[in-house]
Amino acid sequence: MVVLDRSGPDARSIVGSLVPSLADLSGPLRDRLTAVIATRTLEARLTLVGHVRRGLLHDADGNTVATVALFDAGTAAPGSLRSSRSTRRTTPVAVEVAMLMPRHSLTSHVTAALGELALQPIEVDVVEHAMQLCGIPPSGLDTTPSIPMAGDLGAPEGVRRLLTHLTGVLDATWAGTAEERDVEYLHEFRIAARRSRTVLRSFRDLAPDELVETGGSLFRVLSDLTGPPRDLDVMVTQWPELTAPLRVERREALEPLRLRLVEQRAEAHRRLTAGLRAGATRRAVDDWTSQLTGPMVDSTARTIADEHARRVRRAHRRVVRHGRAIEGDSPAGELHELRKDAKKLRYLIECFGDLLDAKPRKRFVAQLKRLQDNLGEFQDSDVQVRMLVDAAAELQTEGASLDTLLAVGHLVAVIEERGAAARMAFAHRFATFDTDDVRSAFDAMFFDRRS
Amino acid sequence: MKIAATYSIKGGVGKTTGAVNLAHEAAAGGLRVLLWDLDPQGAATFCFRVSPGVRGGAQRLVGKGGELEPHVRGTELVGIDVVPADVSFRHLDRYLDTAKRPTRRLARLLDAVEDRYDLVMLDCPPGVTISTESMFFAVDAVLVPTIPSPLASRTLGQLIDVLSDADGAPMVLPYFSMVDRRRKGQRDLAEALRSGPIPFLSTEIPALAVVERMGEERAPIATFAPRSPAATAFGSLWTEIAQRLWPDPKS
Repeated sequence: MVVLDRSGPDARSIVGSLVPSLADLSGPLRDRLTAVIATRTLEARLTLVGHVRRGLLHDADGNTVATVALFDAGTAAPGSLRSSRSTRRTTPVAVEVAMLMPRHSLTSHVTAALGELALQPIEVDVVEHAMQLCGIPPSGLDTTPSIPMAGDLGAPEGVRRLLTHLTGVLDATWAGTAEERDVEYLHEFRIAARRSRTVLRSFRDLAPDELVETGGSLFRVLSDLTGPPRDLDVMVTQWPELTAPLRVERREALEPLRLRLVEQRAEAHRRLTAGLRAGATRRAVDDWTSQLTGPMVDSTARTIADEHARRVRRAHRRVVRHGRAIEGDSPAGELHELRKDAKKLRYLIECFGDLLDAKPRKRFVAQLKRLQDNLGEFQDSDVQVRMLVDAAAELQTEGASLDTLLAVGHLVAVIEERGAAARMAFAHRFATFDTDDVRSAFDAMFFDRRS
Repeated sequence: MKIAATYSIKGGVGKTTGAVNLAHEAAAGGLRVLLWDLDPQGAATFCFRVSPGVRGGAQRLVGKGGELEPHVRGTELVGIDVVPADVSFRHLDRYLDTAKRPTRRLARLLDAVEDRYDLVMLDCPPGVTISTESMFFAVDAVLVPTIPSPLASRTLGQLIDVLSDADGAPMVLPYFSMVDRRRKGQRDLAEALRSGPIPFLSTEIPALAVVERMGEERAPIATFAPRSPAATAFGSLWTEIAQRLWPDPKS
């Protein structure tokens, strides 16, 4: 038996800071990562620095029975190599053994030898262990809206826990949004702020006035800061699909408009970054976080399940009432209001998903989502047309060519047509939502829990 | 998952050398690779320091209910697993002959590991048999090491003829193997073949002593002689092959 006969020279091993760009990859690795990453950016989760010596256990025939890696004590830190010293952790000496021939007689010798060393076994590999030491969740960024919650929890405490969770999402996506790492950071940040705003408003009677005021002001600021860059993100990233129905010459003529939107997007992101880094914003967040740990309204007799159900029912009634009131010639504003109502209902359901029966909840949310998609299509077309017309007006004063202005007209017509189609489809879409089937799914979300 | 096979009708042209080193290059680039050593001589199995033998032999493997997964072995190299050779593989044709739809049998066995690997490399024995046909049906590309000699180029022509009759034939990617640039005869023939109708990959694998050392080291060349011209050549060759297996959608 030869042990460690091919242990090479000490190798300095740096794992986790080597973050490739998709452009650097090829073949199936690129395909696999593209499918997973989509529009996200790759980021270093962990930097692990240390020495590793690798060895092999061969049997008498020279076949490999096991591989052995000896890790000296090193350091691990969250993120890239630029991480601050305070976040670094010392990793322990570790031995990693992989048995390639589990049934080989030598395997039992290895197991016995490891046992004599009185090592403490760990179930994960060295990298995962280092992640645990640094408190890095293996699942990555958690932006799920809901948290586990018992229905008999006091309502004020339930609301506090949920708002605390959403504040955690805001915190986790804050830097990525301010640094514009990818478009999804802003999206998740914005949604977390809007969910927080909806929950705070809906349960405002359970929170002290000071908290309602601080939160209301903070989330309004965040909403105002994130709206324009998000709209422009959507417009710029969807530009190829948006202009696809136009002829090639028209698409080419639109290039000055696209560049103008790209400039506007960059400016909107600069404002967002400045806003998020402003002292006033940071102070508002600190106030909010600190007040969130303070006392809530004393109403422990009311359970979160009951209070939540009451508010969801009210939000549902509001959607149904407003939806039924919309006629073929109703102004666009009414559809926009209905869109907001539907969004609030969705947030309330998703944020407290644990309090509802999952199966009917999914059925109901699927229908609600279809209604939202229709309303979203109508709203988006409205917003996009306004953005295009404003940008075109600027270009005209700067002497844009007739071809460009004509092409803008064609694009506006295409988008208006899409909006009109969504408007036409609304009656049918709402009728599909406002049925006994969907209502019974809605009711079943609560009734199953009570029975 | 893509499937490639190193194959030649002629023996002793560098099939196993190609399979072992190309599998290693693919794994070094981050791919999950399975090498299936179909050659009963088991040279590839030996090179990866895996003990030969498949429980139940070829009969059980290609017979009804046979599966590849239980025979997969890990290796000391990250990203490379091996299905080892077995002496019974010399009777593979006989067992395939009794199997239902024999030409599809290898493909069916490989379908089951599709999610586990990015690349399967088959190291095939020489000759044209039922198992060769089954291999042709399964693979995306046949990598044909070709010594620039009249006999080797003749067998390449025969292979092209065989495949031209098959429906959905795989890509044939011939490359020059065991090239000795000092020999005028080889140089001239290589040049003549390159200007012919069969498109050769541009990388040539040189005939060097370091290639022979694979048998002593029992490892791919790049692990014990990473800066050698042979290791560099296999790196370039793999790049060429990968570009054909996974063409860049933008190009």
